[in-house]
Amino acid sequence: MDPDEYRATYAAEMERARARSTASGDGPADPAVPDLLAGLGDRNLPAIERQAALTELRRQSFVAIAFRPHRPAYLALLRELVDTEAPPLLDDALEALALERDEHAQQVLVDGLRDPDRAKVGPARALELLSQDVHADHYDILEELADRDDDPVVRRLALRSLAADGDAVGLFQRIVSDPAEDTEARTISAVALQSLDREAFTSVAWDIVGDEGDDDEVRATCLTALGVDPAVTGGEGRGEQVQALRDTTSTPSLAKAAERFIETSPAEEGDPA
Amino acid sequence: MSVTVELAVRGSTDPSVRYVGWSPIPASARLVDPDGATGPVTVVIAGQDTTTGGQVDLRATAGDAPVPALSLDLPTDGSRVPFLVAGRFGEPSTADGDAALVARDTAGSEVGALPLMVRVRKDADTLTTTERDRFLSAFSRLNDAGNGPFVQFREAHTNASSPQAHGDAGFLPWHRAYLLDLERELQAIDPAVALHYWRFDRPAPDLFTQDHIGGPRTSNGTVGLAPGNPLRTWTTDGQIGILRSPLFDPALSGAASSSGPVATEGDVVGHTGDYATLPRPLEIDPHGAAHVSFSGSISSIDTAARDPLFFLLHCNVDRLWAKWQWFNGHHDPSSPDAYPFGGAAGSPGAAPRGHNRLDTMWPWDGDTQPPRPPTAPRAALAASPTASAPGPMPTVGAMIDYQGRLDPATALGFDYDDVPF
Repeated sequence: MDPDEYRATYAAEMERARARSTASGDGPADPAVPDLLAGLGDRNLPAIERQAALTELRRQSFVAIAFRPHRPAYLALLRELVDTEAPPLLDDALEALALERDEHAQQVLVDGLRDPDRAKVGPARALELLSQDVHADHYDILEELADRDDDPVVRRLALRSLAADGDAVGLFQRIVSDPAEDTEARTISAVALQSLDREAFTSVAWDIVGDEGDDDEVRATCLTALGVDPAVTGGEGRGEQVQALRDTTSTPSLAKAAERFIETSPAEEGDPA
Repeated sequence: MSVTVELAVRGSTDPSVRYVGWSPIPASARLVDPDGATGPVTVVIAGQDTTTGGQVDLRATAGDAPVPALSLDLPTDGSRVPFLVAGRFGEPSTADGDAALVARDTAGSEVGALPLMVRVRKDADTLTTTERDRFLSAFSRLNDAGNGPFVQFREAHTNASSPQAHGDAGFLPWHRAYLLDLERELQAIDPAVALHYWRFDRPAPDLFTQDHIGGPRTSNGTVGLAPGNPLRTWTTDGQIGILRSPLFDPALSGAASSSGPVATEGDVVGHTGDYATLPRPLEIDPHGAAHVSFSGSISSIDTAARDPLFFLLHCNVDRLWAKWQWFNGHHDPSSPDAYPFGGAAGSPGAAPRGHNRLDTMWPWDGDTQPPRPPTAPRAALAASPTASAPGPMPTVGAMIDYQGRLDPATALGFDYDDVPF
């Protein structure tokens, strides 16, 4: 492609874009933050307009220096909305606060998990939002939810957040090693275990990868995880094991994981072929 | 007679330096075996003829137009004859080493070859399966289930550090340095990888899938990732997976929210003012607009860097700046059109520290004195075998002439597939 020809073509495109822009007018200037805050807090406005105001505020918040003077009022209004509003505005406000790692939002979420009568959102949504900033003082409720067998989604979300808890290694080891466990819970536990205790994970993972009777999705996840660990190589016969797996499995994701492992995790020098 | 010719780029035959973009780089040829020749040997240097993969062009000197082949007379004493090589615009590589320099004698026999890769940042929606998988694999290895050096990049982009990177003229140079630093770490893992971009003003049906950056959200709230996808092990801040839900259908449209679609490339590149009037509107739209076109971590400054898509989003922002520079001819760091705040912080009319041309930038300058954050997660910007610039402690100004148009020594070693030299 000749750069000069490319420039000529591109210039023509820019001219067309400018013409369209001129024809449609410059468009409204970005609304001022104080006006947006007023709109967000105005209960006489339809919820959809208030949600749009919140989206616009969040967009402008990326210009951090200019937004900084407005942040205290913005956060205070969000907290008020969380305490007083109903969905969908409640959910939007709660998420916006959760992403700011706001303590008030976290307390609202934890209170709801401990006492469903006080819950502002369902447990799955609460766990999702709480995961934006998990604290050690959340672990007890997370462990309690991870023990539940009546709601697999809630359980998985709780397990996901417990990946930050160094004391949960035993829990993740038990779950990932149990073929009778929920597949998704096992894959979450595999990744969590790798994050918390690499050595324990590597040992368990190779056992799972080598077990032809185990779930191929779990095997693929374990092999993928082994492949991204720079400390894991194809030495000690592992490379040959994975090659054989690649050549014999009928599960595409497992074959792909094996292929990636072979490419990224060569055998160490000096290892027997 | 059968001579042997050694081809080199950047003064070396080492594989680590064999990556080129659109900017011409030094190359050379020399006779290593003159095979009895008594005078200079004429060889023709050309890119390897192939219908696929990367293509290169040559220049005898910097002022010459690129040509597909050069005839060189190589002295028998083995001294190097210099020339320049660059990727041919619009024809990047799709695999490592798929481009090559070839030396042929006057009979047309090959007497030397050097595999190259024309490595550029591409639209992530257009990657081949191999390109995609290598990219994701390198990214996941950098993350290493939350234990890898990626954590430094995550910690460098939070509310606490935001004034260093947002809200003033330094928004674009800071993020250019940040992305370059990450890309070099990816290339230390796999040199064939580049940091690709999400073209957020267009549909991206192949990007937002379980085999790529993540498909429709699962019941766990996280994006769906296929079992063999390397991002399956993605862990940040002790949390597994990626929390992200588009508020639009990425298979059918560009990014959009209740505020409407994001500003288009034409809106940014067609901006006719100088640099001083560019960052503020761009930072709100399309940059901020793209961020809040999702529910989840990417929609907030404090949590956005948890999501690998964040880096592809910012790569497109940087691409838009690069394209604006190219289209409007703004590569001279000393020109106010290219960057408004000459000098350093504290001088008359200066911007806040970190936003003036001569300022170094946090975290790479290690400055943890207020108002800077109390920690500096990246002690130095990563080095690269393909570029000596910008050094471990980059200035704002070092980010301007990223292709080395005015001074080849300032080239940063990256290019975009659709921004020529």
